[in-house]
Amino acid sequence: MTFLPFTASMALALLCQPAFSVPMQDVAALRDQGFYALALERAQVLDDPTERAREVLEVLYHAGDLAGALGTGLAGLEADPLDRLLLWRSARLATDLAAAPLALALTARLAREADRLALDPGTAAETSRWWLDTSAEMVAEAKHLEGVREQQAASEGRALWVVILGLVLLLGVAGWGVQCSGPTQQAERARV
Amino acid sequence: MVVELAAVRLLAPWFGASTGVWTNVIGVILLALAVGYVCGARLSVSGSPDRRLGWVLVVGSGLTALLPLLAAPVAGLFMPADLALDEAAGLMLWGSLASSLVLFAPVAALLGCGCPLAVEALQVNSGGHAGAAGGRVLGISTLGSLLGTFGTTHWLLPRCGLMGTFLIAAACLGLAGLLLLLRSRSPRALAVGLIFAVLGVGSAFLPEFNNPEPAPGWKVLDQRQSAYQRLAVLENEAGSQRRLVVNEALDSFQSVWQPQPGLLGGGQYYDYFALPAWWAEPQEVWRALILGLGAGTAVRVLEGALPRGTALFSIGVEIDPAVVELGELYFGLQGNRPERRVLAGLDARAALPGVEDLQDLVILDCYANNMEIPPHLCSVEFFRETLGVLAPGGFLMVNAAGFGLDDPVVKALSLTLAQAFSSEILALRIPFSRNCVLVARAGLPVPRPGALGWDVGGRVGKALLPALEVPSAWRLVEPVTGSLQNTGVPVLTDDLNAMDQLQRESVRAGRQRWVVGA
Repeated sequence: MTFLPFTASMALALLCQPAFSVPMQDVAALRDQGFYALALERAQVLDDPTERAREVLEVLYHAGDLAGALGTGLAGLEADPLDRLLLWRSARLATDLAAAPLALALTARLAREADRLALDPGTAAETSRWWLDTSAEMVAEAKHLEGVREQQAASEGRALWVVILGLVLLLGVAGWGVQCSGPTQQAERARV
Repeated sequence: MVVELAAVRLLAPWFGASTGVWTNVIGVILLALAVGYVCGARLSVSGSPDRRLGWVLVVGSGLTALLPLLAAPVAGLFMPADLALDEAAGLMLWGSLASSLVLFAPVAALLGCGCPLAVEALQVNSGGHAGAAGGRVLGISTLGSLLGTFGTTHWLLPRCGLMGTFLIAAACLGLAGLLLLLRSRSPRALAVGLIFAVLGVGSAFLPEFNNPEPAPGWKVLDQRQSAYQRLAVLENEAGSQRRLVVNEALDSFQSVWQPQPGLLGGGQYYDYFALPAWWAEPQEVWRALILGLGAGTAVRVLEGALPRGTALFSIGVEIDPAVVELGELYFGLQGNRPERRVLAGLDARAALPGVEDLQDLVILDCYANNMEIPPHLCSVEFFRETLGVLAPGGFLMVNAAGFGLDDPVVKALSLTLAQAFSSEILALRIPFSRNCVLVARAGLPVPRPGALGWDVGGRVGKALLPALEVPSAWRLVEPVTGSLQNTGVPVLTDDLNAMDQLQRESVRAGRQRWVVGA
């Protein structure tokens, strides 16, 4: 069987290519129409590294690759640590994937960025309020996740101690039992 | 044996009933029995052995009756709520070990005391040799264990439930202990008898065994103990979805139901079982064999998502008949019709030789204890047997739970499947889920993104295919030959099958994924 290089849906998207003149719109439009593979190809060749990370993250997220999207977000944040959009999306993904320490760290950074934005006189009040509210909600979610993780660790520790104590207790009782052949027991047996 | 077998069921709602949990429960009970034997030996050398035996049995009876009530608070100490199944994996082993020690060690140690006391009592009362008395006690106790083993699994648990099973075991122990105390003419025997009678009557009013609460927004429609597992049917508040959960479940479920047949949406791997009928040449009848039918979700998806003009003839194989019963009651499962055969109570591998017609699609979705793929259902030999029931061009689809295509379980299953079929297989990471689906084809190349025959159009293609086309969502896996076999990925066989170890590695790798800092 001969394999063609593109699927019909991809070919259709390619035919539509001239309709998109601005690359960013191109990626978003392809993504919104469900042409994820093609949108990803386009996103990966964007010049600006932050825009690239944002768009790749969005495409992967919409295609259901949450781990891939988070990995992209983290890589993008290495290049641009203060990008609020990347922080927001990465923090959301880390929370969804129950990666508690990561979610906590990212949401804390997001909250700091939201605070910084609020102090900027050039930012509209509505915008800074949205970021403050969103980051506060996400910090709360991440703290809940962290709480669950701490409970998990505490339960593991508790279980370990109970196992150790239980075994010591059983061995102690067994020790009491094996004294059966001692002189006291022999005397008791003789009396019986 | 009644207590031992029911013990695993008691812990199952929190820790599951995996091989690790069984090992912990059996290990604790054996250790406690050994301690009990030693202590019983000491107790037997003084005083009246039959009176002491009576006391041991009566106290053991009381503790046994309390076990179902103590299970929830004790297990809750070691298994917090809100954990995902993979997050709870470490706790399942340590938590079940700790819970077993707290709950079952005292009872098992007491019952262990009974054996030497019984030998001593028999020898003192009937004379003769210690060996003769020991042999008789061992013979009778082993027969009792045999009765307890079969009776618990096949009669007590399914008919009386956990609470009933423990109460019956407690009643038997208490009655035997009471008779011994009465026989020994102990002045306290009458008082104990009265207390025991009051407790016996009171036990009828004990609250039901406390299973963990379902997640917020869900209610329990039905729950029962089957010969294999604890089963519960949950329904959401809107009545728009039902789920079948087994044992500990946490955030996972075995079957799902929505009012309309067809695609479920929302990252459910069952939906992807509809694709082969669209990839294949159009045909009037689509024959599908589902190994691991559960409550029939896959059948229901196929019923609503096949190409127009294609009729479904399905055979479902489910090892647990109680699951099929619940499927018929709550999940729209229809059995006993020529086009919807259901083989309940059969192991998937044992069922294969009985499949007469060649199948267009075989779905393998067999999990034990939520997370475990039974080794005999993931070997080269088994996959070759499934190849034997596939029509030319037919598809085998395997549900493989794991953290993406690089997951150790998914990689090993993919390679094993490719080896069995001696051809490339397609591994798909299901969007928005922790499942992968492996696709193998009999005698023809598997479809793949970008190739002719992949894009099927229609509502099914439009809903399912685009997200599979990104490069991170799929991988072709080739069989390896000769010197290339040293890939570091095991090919699973009946003789050498490391699935247990791979599943532990999978969970460990999954938990470590995001440990690296932000």
